[in-house]
Amino acid sequence: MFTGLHNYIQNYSESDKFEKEAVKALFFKSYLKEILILVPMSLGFLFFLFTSSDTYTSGTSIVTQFELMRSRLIFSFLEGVFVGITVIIAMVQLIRWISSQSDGSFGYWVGIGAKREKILRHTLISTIYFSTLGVIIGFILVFSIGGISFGSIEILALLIATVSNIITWLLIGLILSQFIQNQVLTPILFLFLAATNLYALRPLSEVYRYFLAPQFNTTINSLMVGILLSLLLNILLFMSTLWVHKRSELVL
Amino acid sequence: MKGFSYLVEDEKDSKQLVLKTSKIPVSLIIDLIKKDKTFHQIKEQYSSLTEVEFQETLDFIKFENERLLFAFDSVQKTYRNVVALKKLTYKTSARSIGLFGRNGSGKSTLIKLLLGLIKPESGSVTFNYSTQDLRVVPDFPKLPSHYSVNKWMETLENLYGLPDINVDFEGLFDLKGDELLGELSAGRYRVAALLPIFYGKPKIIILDEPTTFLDAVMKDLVLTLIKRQVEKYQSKVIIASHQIDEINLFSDAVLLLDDGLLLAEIPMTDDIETKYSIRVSDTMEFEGVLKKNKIKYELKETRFGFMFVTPLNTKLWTATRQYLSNEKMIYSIKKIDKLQEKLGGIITE
Amino acid sequence: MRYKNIVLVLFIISIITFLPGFKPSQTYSLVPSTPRSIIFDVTSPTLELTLSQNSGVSINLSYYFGGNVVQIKQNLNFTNSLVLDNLSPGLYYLQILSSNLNEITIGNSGIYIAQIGVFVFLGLLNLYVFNKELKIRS
Repeated sequence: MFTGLHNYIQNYSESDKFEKEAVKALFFKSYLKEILILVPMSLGFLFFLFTSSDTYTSGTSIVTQFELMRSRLIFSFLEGVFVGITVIIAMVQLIRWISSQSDGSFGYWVGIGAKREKILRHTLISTIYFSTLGVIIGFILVFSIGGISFGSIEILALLIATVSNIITWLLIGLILSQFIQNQVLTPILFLFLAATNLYALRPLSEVYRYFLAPQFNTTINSLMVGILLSLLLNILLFMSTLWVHKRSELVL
Repeated sequence: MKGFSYLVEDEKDSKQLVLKTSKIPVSLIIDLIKKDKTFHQIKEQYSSLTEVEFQETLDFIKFENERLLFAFDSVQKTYRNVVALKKLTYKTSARSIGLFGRNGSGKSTLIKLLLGLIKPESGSVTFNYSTQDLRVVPDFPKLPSHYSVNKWMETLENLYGLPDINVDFEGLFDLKGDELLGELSAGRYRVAALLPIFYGKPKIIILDEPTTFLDAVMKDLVLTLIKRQVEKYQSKVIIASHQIDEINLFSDAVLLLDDGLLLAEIPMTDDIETKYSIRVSDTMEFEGVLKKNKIKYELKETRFGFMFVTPLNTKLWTATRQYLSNEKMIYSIKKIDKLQEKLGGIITE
Repeated sequence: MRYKNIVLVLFIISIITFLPGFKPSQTYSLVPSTPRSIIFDVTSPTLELTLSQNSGVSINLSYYFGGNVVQIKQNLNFTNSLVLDNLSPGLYYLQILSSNLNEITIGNSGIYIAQIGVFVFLGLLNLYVFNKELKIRS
């Protein structure tokens, strides 16, 4: 059994060796991993801290008032996280993705044998992994220092919603970078899109609503629809990114 | 005697014919591949081997020689209305191929098509090699410029395995371990790009202008080391270059490309006698001397006047002495390269 | 990510946790002659309530935890300002019972001891890892 496990670990570290090195060399340079963890998280925490409270004069029940405040705080935390992530995607990942394709460094790695769709996959996975790590740490800060209490299912749902949202924006960025390969225009266009659609395109807003603002009476059906829709959207975006990416010609 | 064990290691690849015996010397394989000697000469030299072992070796060589290197089937490629390759159909199982042609003749396009970086508009390209066996040095290699030389070497070690040649690359190529690749001079950057060839066991090496930016000494050193690596692992080589000596060093056959068309395929394996090109002040006089000494010659007209082409012959020196004693002048005597000879008028002078 | 960088990232996070200590105080205007309540988030141990005028005021303070509301101070009277120490982080509900008040300023400051402990521990760990790296290089 242990030999099997050992072989599995060895196979895993051996598989996609070229692609992993390519991702390291092309995208995760100059502390991008650390930035991906720290920046969205601290922006989210700042947004969370500086959310102002309101005074209430109506006769609403205290529990409802507490829940409204809690959802507002979490919303502002997530807003900060999204701003951080979209800015990083636009400013770092997009520019790097475009420049590595146009200056031939992407072509070099594909030339020596790395599969380009695997490079894309590994970049996506690493970006998602590190930004999710940042979000989780941010949640821990919000729960401990912020004192916002949540149930474990709520945390899981929020996390799924957030990760799904990150994937959506990452893929939108990648598709954009395939169509318009300009190091200045593309990030600006992406930021414009992100700024105007941060609310409209938030695919799992139903989940947020279900858990954070129960007074909106979101049903479990609309929750499922939200999850399915965002899943569908992400799969669609991923397939089209791969399709466009495979057809692009590379410079060596 | 050093064994032939390195070829036994690739048992995973079922297509590969594997030699089980380790008695067979490397030199035998090289002799057989190069066909420098006749079959009987080789058999006499290695008489210690049994008939079975010898047959096994021959089968192996036959298999390796007939294995397809690459194939193009009516491949067409256009860049913004400029045709880079015109309906190219070519198939080869040669051990090594040189690509020769002017700038923009389609050499680099051919390499990009092989590597799958660009897709042909029509036709198909066949080129099957595992990533582990392939080494590519493009004309403008884009190495990760933020890597230090040490980190680059670590990466290569991780990708291909330890370097087989026991050489201190840093000392030999004047590379410092903590220098960043992006800060290296053009020549040393080129050397860093050539480093992958020396790691692991390359089976196919693709070189595009490998020695640009290198000084004469470094070029010589690098080419010698590459040649050694190629011979050791019997790697197949595809080399695109403007420099005849590089092509000569590695190629069994040369593809002559011009404007996306395959002009000719020139085999380089059969022996050609060395010839000299001679230009003199008095053509009539020299022709007379050559005739008198019964030396075969060809008279060619070039841009710079008439030129004699003669084989290497001891009588030639007698003839030139006779000619010079009449107070005439010889402008130049040049050895003609194998490739130069074959390419004929295209690059003469 | 390398071990050295993970420790550094954690150290930076421990610095970020000090941010609530520098949070500016907030002033709330109150509509007169109505029952007034404020919900605010406490992220530091010390809470300071300052009134706009020199008169006494009576408050109720409740704490929200896991869906339940726990009242911690009832009918607490004070003039000018009130300082509450050792508050645990979380959402608080402040109900103002006097109706003559126009403005109240809520200031939240200070740092929890646990935060300082984590900061010092990670700082020392960082120094240790950095020194080790130096030794390996030299």
